[in-house]
Amino acid sequence: MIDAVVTGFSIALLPQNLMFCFVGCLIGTLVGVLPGLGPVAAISILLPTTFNISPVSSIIMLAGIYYGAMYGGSITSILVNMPGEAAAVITCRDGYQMARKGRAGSALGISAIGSFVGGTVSVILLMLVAEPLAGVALAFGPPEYFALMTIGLVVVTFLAGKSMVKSLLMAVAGLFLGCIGMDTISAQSRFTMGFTFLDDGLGLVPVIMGLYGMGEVFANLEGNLSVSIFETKVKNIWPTIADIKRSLGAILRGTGLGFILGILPGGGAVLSSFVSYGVEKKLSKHPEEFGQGAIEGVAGPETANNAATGGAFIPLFILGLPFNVVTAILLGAMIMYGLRPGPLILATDPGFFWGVIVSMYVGNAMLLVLNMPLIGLWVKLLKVPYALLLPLIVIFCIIGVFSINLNISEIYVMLIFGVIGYLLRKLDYDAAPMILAMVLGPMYENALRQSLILSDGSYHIFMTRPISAVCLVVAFLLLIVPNVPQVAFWRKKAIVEASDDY
Amino acid sequence: MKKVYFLVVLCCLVALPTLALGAGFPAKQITIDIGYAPGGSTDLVIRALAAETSKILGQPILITNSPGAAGNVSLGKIKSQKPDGYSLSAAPTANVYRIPHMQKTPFKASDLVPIGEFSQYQYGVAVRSDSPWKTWEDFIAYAKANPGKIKYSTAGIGTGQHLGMEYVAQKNGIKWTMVPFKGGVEASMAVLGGHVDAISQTTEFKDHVLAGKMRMLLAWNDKPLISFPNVPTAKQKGINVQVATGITLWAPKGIPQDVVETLATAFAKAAQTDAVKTVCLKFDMPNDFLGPKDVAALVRTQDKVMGDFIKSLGLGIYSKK
Repeated sequence: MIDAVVTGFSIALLPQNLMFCFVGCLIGTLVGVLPGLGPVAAISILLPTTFNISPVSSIIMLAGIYYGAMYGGSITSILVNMPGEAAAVITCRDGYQMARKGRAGSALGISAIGSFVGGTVSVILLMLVAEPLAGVALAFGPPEYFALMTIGLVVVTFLAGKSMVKSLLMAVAGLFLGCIGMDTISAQSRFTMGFTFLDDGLGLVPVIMGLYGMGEVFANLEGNLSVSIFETKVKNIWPTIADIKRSLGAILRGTGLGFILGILPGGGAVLSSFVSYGVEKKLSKHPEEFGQGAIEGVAGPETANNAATGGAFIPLFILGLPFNVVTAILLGAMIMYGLRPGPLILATDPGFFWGVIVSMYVGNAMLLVLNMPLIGLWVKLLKVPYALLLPLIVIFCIIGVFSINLNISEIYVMLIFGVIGYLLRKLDYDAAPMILAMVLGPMYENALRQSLILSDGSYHIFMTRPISAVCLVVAFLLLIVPNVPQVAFWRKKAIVEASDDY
Repeated sequence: MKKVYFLVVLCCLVALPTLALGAGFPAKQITIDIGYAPGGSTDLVIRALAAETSKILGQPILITNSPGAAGNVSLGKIKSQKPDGYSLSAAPTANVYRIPHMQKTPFKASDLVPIGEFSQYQYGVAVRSDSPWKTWEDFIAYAKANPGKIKYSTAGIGTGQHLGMEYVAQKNGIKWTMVPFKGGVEASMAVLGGHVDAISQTTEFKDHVLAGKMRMLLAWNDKPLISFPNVPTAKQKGINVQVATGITLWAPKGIPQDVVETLATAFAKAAQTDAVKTVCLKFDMPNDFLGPKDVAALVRTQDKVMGDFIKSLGLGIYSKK
């Protein structure tokens, strides 16, 4: 364990890896700050540029973008009342109110500190649980994988968007999109309509860039293309003793909550920030202050969303299962570099595993430095006019998609999904369940078919194996509870109202 | 405005490599799509070979993986690529002459042109070391007495390791079930996790046998494995089935002959480097390289041999079930 961490440091502290870590954190903060451009689009755009650097360096950089964006997202939430990225939605509530009361500095400061604590502690927890969990992971055969993916899909549907029916529709659409291409057992083409480039299935990157990158651009064309920044001097970034006293509990709870929810299938940064906000409001002695600029309402969720990024690496590395869109792209990247995430990765690629984990620790420290003194710079960045930013996003999307397979058809796929993304936004559908279902779809089908081969065609296999039975029962409950009046009420309060504000 | 200028220059720089097409092969990056999941024998061996070939040709070689259906997903994709030598697929030679007799394939042998065959897969059957089967005979005796009980994993339908097991089943009146995985690493994990009873696969299980977690019962190749000289071969056990094959680099039909020659020469040279030899040894594999004409001839004769053999057994597409 100690040896492993030392190895990790020896890799993470190599000059080139430090540089890639820094670049990742910088880009992450940047896209986090810019509304509309999130870590998903940024990682997809940068993926092709990493082909010629070592796998460790590139995953270090891509992971840096992921957690860096969590830091950056809060800046926009606080100053513009517009979430820089999804996990910072809830931060707008109290963060912006604090800014209006002239306490923008404290809000930014506490969110950076909370993010740092959440990020680093979750990395330490990740180190502690990785090895024992890898031992357990071998017990996951095809039926368990099937059940786990079911639960992941259900949780994502449960949490995404306002209407459960809409989310379910998106998940089903995603499973269909995942069926396109050759099936992995008999190599027969399905739903390709004779387009040979579809034999390999729809590319994840063109779809994501279309839905998120281009969709965002199209949606922004409607607006007046300007952002109004709350005009205030950002000062007193270091929080006062009183602030720290009030936030300490929120930060500690946020860390634990975020990490655990990050590990769970379908959980992740967005969910944990909402749950943390709810918990803090419940526990607070002054619940009436929430929504009026309560510092706990910033500290808790900002800590939780960073802690969740650490947790989310556990199913990714140990089971090879991505449960959110970002880890789905990272999985694709790892496979492209010839790494096989799974229970054996600790044994086969310890250098990679520990190098990446330790780099996240280093990266969190870098981010604290990037965020505290440089906050003024990030604020300036928000003033880049959209008329300049949007065309750049389009250029990067097109170049990014083309450079992956040098295939012009994928640009068309991206444009089509751009239009779809725009329509989904207009009609209030959340794209996340669709993307996740599309990525999990082929694995899901494979696990189902393998399970049924194992059981000679009997579906009992899913109920006779304990892990799979528990997962499926939980998934089933999650599907029916939204119809229970009280849960429906809670769900409405936690998710719908929060997203209603924006 | 300076910033904008800088960004425009940056964009051009990013776009440049993709536009730099010139005369003479290879003038740009070559892509090799591997038919199996990362980390397995095909993947690691071809990655090593590609890295050395890239140095010889002076162009980068990008590796992608399209695992599924024993490598046929990759072959089905490659047949519709431009036959310019920049898109190649790496999959077992036997995929073209054996799998079509086992199940429907997304390509015909005539859609593909071999650049050359590299190495020979080494195969065997292994079980968990805590299983009751100490020898191949134990395993067969149990399988005979318990029809339908044994599940074994392979990297796909119609592979040699699958055919070998089905041949044994037929000769001994055994009924067992094959569970296909996307690669040897996943197939090995299924055994370690107790989800299947045995694995019939290339040597991805070698490290687990060396670590004492698995026991190898049989080698499919005619010669024993370098690492496990005491494990009996199929031939010694009177099993007369030809399983062995190598990894062929395939191009779509219509590829110019001189491009085939250039590629084959570079691969043959790369095959002899120490870096490639080291990776091959990890899987007990040799590092021979067979040129394009020899592979084409091999495919022609083997297609007939395998067709007759599988037909005589009534397996695969000739199955009457």
